[in-house]
Amino acid sequence: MGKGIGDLKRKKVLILLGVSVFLMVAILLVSQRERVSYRIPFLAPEENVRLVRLYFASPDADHLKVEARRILREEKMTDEAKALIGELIKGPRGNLDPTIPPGSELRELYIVSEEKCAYLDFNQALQTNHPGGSAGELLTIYSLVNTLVDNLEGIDRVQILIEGETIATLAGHIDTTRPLLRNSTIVEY
Amino acid sequence: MQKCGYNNKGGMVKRVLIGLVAIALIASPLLAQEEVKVIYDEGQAQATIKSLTLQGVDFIYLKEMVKLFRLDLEWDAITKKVTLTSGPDQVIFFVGSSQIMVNDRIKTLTQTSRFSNGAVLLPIEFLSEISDEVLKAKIAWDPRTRILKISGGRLNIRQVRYSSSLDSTRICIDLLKPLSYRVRKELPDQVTIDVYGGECNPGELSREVNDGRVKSIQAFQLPDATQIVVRLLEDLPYKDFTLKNPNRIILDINPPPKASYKIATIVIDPGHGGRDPGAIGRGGTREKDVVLPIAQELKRLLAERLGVRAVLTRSGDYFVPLEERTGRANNERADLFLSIHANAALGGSPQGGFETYFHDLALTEDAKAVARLENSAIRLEKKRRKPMSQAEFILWDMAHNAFMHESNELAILVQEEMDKKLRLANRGVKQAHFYVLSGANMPSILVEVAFISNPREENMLRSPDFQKKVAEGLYNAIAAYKRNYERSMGQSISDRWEKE
Repeated sequence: MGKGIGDLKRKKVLILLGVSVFLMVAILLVSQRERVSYRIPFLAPEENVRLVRLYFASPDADHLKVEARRILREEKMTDEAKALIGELIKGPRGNLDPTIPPGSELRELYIVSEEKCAYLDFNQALQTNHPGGSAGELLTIYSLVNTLVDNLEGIDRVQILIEGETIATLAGHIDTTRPLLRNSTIVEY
Repeated sequence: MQKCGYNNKGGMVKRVLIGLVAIALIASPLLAQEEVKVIYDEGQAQATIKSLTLQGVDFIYLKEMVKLFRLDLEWDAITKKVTLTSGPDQVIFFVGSSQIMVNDRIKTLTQTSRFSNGAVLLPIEFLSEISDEVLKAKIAWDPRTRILKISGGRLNIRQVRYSSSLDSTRICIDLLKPLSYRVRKELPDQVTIDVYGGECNPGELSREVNDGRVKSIQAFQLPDATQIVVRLLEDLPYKDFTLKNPNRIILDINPPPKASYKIATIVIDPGHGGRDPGAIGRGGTREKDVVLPIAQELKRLLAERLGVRAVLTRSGDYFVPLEERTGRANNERADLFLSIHANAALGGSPQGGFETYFHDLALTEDAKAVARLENSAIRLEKKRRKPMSQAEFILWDMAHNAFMHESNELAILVQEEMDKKLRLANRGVKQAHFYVLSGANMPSILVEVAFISNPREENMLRSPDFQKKVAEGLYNAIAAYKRNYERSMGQSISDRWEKE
């Protein structure tokens, strides 16, 4: 019996040990995984990462506000501009609201450096999935314009295109037939 | 002989004396008072003025010159600034300076004006520098015979100017002295003015205008009168009157009726329509359906309570292109353009409230650059419309700035009055580059009355009660604007137009 009790005790200890080891390994693994996934963007050498200012909508849809984000540095300005638009399409991470309608994709992006103008060619979704309203339209347009002009030295103005064509308006209000300059009145810091 | 002369003692003294006198003559600013004979138009009339010869340069007195050419003289004793005016032309100079400013252009003389016993002297060269632009005469000076020939200088019709505004053309005939005249319209597209006793250079006065109303101005010199013929592109009314200091005959083509200083016609634009539903709420409410009853109610209020004619850009559910909306307002010669919309935005946060926009050119390209661009496009397209001249551009720019100011006033009033009527957030007045407002030739605004993307406000927008309240708020704003505008603008503008 005594032996049995001793056996039982040892068994208990072993189980406990096993469980604790399993738990420790699990915790370690989980924490490691978390750390790994969390660290990936920071694994790139510092000179390959840049801090950018992305413009998203304030919750009351009255202003654009800045969300800072780290993105990988690109060699070509066109690629950097594409990356910035990509971040706007992904949407805000903080408490701001998105500005780009769901389903919107950037088909192509051209920069005419003499004009310091970026031409953004979106698919039809930017227009058809847009909720409309002057406020919403202004936020969409100037989140694109301000984000590119603020982050890229070589860009002063932005022309929005849909399926390769210029459009009169995105949703019936703001004139998008010409390149647009940065709008500072819509920004709130 | 020469040798002999040198040996002659008396001759030597004489030479020394002559030499001394010569040195004295050169060294001292010796004044020689003389006269100048003035001959007009190849001997038809003559006059004599005093002149001074100073170190070989001929000067005349400023006061005599002013009389001779009937100029207006302004003298500033402290700065020694002289301003001479003749009709719209002007010369400014400072006594002692070789530079003179002729109609904003600087010219440099080889001799300077100067004082002599308190009088101002001008080198004769001064006359030739200002002869074309100010004296409107040809000047010829012969220093040997001391004759000053003036030709064409006695023309009493100096020039014919015109200025174009959005609706009218003003033709201004500059006279040297008041002359009697008669205006008549012999043909529907031709206004003739006979200026009795007028003398002019017809070639200088005649010109093409082509500003959309006036085709050309032509001048003819008759034995006893100058005839000015204004050719119009269509039959337009005119009004004539005279102004003094300087003397002018004014002819307004298509003068604005006094009623245009009243807010008489308003174009109301219910946003979207037909295949364009506008923004759609989560409950399925469509913007185009809720803005129409607001516009219709506003039209009723304006007609019933204010006696103002209101025109809707659409009276049902059909599509109207954006260009046609302001085009309609321009054709109706509307005094105000008001576009009614319902707002929306992305995002799940509760957004809400009402806001009013007015058009801002500055947010796209520089306004002037745009105008130039459009000019060049016109130039390429057709020769029909002439590109804007600098003056025309300034007029255009001023008109649009005036609309911007007035649009802002109206926008402020809309926000104020809507605030009193609605229990919604006041999002204020904003500026943006609106496609629908960009072609408006009148103050124009766009009102976003509530957020259709906010379920609570979507429900409000559907209710006829709320729609009425919005219409009343807009009505009150327009009524207040009309009151302010007609009180402050009406009198002052019509006065200015009458008296210039």
